[in-house]
Amino acid sequence: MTHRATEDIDLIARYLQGDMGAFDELMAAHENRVFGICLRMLRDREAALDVTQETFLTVFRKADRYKAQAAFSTWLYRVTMNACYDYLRRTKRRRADALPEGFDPADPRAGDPLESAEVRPDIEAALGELAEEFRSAVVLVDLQGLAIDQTAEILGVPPGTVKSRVFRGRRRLAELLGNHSPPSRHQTDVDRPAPDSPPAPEHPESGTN
Amino acid sequence: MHQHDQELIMALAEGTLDATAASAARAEIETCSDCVHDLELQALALTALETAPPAQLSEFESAKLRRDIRGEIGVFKEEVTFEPSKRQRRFPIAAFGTAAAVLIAVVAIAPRLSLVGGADSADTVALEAAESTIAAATTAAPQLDAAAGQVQVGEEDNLGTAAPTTSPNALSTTMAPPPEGALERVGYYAANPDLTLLRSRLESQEFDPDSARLFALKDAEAEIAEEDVNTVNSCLVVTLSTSDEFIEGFQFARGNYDGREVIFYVYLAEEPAESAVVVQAADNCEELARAGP
Repeated sequence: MTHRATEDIDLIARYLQGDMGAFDELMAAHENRVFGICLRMLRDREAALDVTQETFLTVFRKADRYKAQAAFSTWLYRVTMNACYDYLRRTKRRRADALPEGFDPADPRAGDPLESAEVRPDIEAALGELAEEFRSAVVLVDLQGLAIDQTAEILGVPPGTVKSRVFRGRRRLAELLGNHSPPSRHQTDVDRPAPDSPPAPEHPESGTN
Repeated sequence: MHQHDQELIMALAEGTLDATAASAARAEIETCSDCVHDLELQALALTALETAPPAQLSEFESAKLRRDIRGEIGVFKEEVTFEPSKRQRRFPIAAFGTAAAVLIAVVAIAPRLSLVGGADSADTVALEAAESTIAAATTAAPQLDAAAGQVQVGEEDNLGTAAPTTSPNALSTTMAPPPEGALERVGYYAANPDLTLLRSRLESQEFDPDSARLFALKDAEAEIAEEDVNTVNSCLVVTLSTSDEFIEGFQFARGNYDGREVIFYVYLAEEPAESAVVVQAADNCEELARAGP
């Protein structure tokens, strides 16, 4: 167990005993990461702030149910992801500028994906184009720097599935950034499922450990 | 593609293989055009992801988040000790947008306060002192007189200059120039604020937080604040982080009041009628005067 994980367990215990300093320490340790996940998943700062608050409320209200079988951060990020999915499901939001699935307008500079990426460096927008299951994997692994195993625990899927989703998510991301039409074999397995319908197995109950 | 192919490509793109393994992997991948293509895309995505800007809460967002959560879960019955980091001591720039509206609403008015440059004496407030007097800072204070007869509300190009008044709380009348850059950026700079007038402007919402002019001011002030690691902002940070009423704060100016060095703050609430303008002692954040709830 890492130093951070040990410290988190101690902080949770202190919080449950009414230690007020533990609250701030837990917030300071995790609030930016939780917010970062929310912002990457939702692409809306206000929504990300709301969902960050919702996440911490859930965690602090259910802190007594945390049994330290998994790292606190794993539990926290699982609640975060579920809160993000819930938010997306509630709002059914689709960005107005989203391209129709499978459609990439021609870009004359798109021959070389690396060169094209420099021309169209909108990584945030490209992330938003990813289906949720791929976006969540890429956000957790590549942007938050979490390990495959921890990400698997958070998402409730096997590690191999996480690797596959990261692989495919990155590939789709690169195609979007480079405006690079993927070979036909890529098209079919990357663009599904629809953005607003994350698969059920990824959604362990909020607040449970 | 097999799983092991994906893992190999990922590892190669991530640079997690040692030289020998990487060489072998590259040789294997080069026998497959799809694999080479995938390796390119993986590398491209990783490069792009590294350029993604950090997603971080501003210090104001962080303070508000914590305050809201505390309020929701009701964990803290006693006073919270707030210990801003050096970075947190910076003025919450996010507050400038709305607060700048207040600045625009204020024009030359009766000099019950005289203002001096804030940055020069920025170190006069010890954070520890501020923390130790949170309770004092929230104590009700006498209302300031309006001095309404001397109020001049000027247009942008017609800033009035009111004659000094005398009162037990009369202040020195020496005016310091506005922060460098403010005038050039927005054309004018408010001075000699009258708390009651400012309060009335808050109530009547005579400001438009979305105006382009505000954003111009916001930019100017933000630049100033960025360079100003300013402990006097601790009053504002402490008050905001311990108050359920205010959502934003704005350090308007520094000055003297009753012989004490003070900081003039505007605290904004969701409802303008709930907003307040407050004079707080620079040495310990004690609230000396207030116009508002």
